[in-house]
Amino acid sequence: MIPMSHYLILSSILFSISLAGIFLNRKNIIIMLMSLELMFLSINFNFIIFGNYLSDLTGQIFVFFILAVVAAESAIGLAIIVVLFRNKQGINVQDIARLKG
Amino acid sequence: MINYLYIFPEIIITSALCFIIVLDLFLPSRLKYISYYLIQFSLIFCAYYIYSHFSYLNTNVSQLYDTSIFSNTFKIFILLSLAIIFYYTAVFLRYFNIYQTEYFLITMFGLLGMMIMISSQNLILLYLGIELLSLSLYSVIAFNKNSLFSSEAAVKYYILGAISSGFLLFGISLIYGLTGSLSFNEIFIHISSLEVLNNMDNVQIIGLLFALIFILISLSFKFGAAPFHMWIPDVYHGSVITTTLLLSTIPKIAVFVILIKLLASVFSGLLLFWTDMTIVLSVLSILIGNIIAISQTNIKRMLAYSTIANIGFILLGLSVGSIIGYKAAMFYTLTYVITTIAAFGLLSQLVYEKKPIENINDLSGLNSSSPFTAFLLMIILLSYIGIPPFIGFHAKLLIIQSLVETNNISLGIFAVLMTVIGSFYYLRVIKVIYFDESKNDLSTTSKLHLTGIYIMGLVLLGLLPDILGQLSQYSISNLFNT
Repeated sequence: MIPMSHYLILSSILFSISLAGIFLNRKNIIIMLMSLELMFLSINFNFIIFGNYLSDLTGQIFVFFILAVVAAESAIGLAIIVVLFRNKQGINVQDIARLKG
Repeated sequence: MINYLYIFPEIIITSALCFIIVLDLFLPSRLKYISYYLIQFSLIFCAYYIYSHFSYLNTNVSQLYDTSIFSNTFKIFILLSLAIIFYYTAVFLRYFNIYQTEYFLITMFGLLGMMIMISSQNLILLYLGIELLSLSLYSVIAFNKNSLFSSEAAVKYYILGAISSGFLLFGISLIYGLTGSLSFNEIFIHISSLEVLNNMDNVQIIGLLFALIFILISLSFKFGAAPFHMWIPDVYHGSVITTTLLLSTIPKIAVFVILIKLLASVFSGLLLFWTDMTIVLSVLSILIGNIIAISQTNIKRMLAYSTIANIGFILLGLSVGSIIGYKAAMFYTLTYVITTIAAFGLLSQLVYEKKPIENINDLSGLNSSSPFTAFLLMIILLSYIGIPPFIGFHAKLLIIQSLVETNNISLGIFAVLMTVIGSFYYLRVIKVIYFDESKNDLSTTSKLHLTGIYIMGLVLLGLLPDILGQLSQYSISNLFNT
């Protein structure tokens, strides 16, 4: 039997990796989207563990809501990136710096 | 047995949306105005329904969905503000030939999200409402798809918004693990039973604090409080001015309702901790907002920083941690929203060299070309500063009064000093309007009759501050009695 703290540490590590992936990444927006996806998966992991530990179904139900919403969110994100690509002919993170002041 | 009458306002909005989406596809372009009027009608009708069933809706005892007087006041306010915003948006989009009914429909989805947020009594519903709002805002910002600025702003808002919902979810998962429930009521009961003052080192309390910090970070992101304000200037600058009008007003009301519900009732057991956090947030917001706004040349960016400063004042009212502070904060929020609708609405009707207004210098000599417009703009800016006969004065006065009455004298002095510094950049705009050389390239998209009436209403509200005062008194005391 693996203690619950191990699971929680794993999900926190995944969360931190995804945050680092967003803030350290200087090249591509697609990598940012991948990191966001990882962030939501780590949160799902958290919910499943807590739901299992409390023997309560709510946590697992919430996971389905999150999965659905995150899928919609990445669809919109990809659409916005397509629009940006049309206007700019590239999706480099460094180039997104026209708005300043 | 579920009583659907309690969620009838949401049903009205949803069914109007589904109907108009389909109807709009079959309308020829010269009849598109029909769907616009249908949208306006459904907004007004929904507000009227809530108003006429005020006391009936208050009898709802559901643990999931709250339709108390407090929530319904804000819902009516949001619906009516959105109707005014839609008017300005329609005028603006028609003038610049980018009119599409989808803009209004996507915003209506956001409205639905806000109504769900305001009514939620459960963290799942809260999350779904916030996401529905943010998803529609992402698409509305990217609406002008040929503009590089718009798409850049949308990408920035998208990435930061997704991170902030990640933070919110992480906080919710911790709360779920520690309290075993997602319902506001049960979480409240659990936290009150902990006796926070007697066992500070309890693992549960430390975990709950962790969760509270995550949720507060996420909500201040959506609210636009410093140090989580980075997206505000860029997004306001990049999007079309009517989208800026939308972004800077009603989402703030919804987030304010959530903040007051979560902090003042659900987390009231942790009051000791969150008051300090909100003080830090508000002081930073007021400082950063007021000082950086001085160096701005773009008027949308300047108003973005002024938004940050105003958010700081709202949080200052919340940080008092008692009913008098919440009342002041609610008064300030309503005032801020009314004034900002007037400001951006008026600016969206001005045209400089056949383009929407961008820089402060575009306005120079507005007084000589159209004195009426200049006069209206001056009233709005004076109200922002807080000059006595106008409504902004009463809002600032109430906040400072609540600070002084709870012995936070130093914070009160800080607020007064920052108001003085903040008045500089508003007064500079007035100076540009009245004393700079006229350029004669300014025109307006439409007659300003409706704007004039709206701003006269603003002045009246300033002369009779009791209207808003009693409204906030009534709804806040309702929140804490039930």
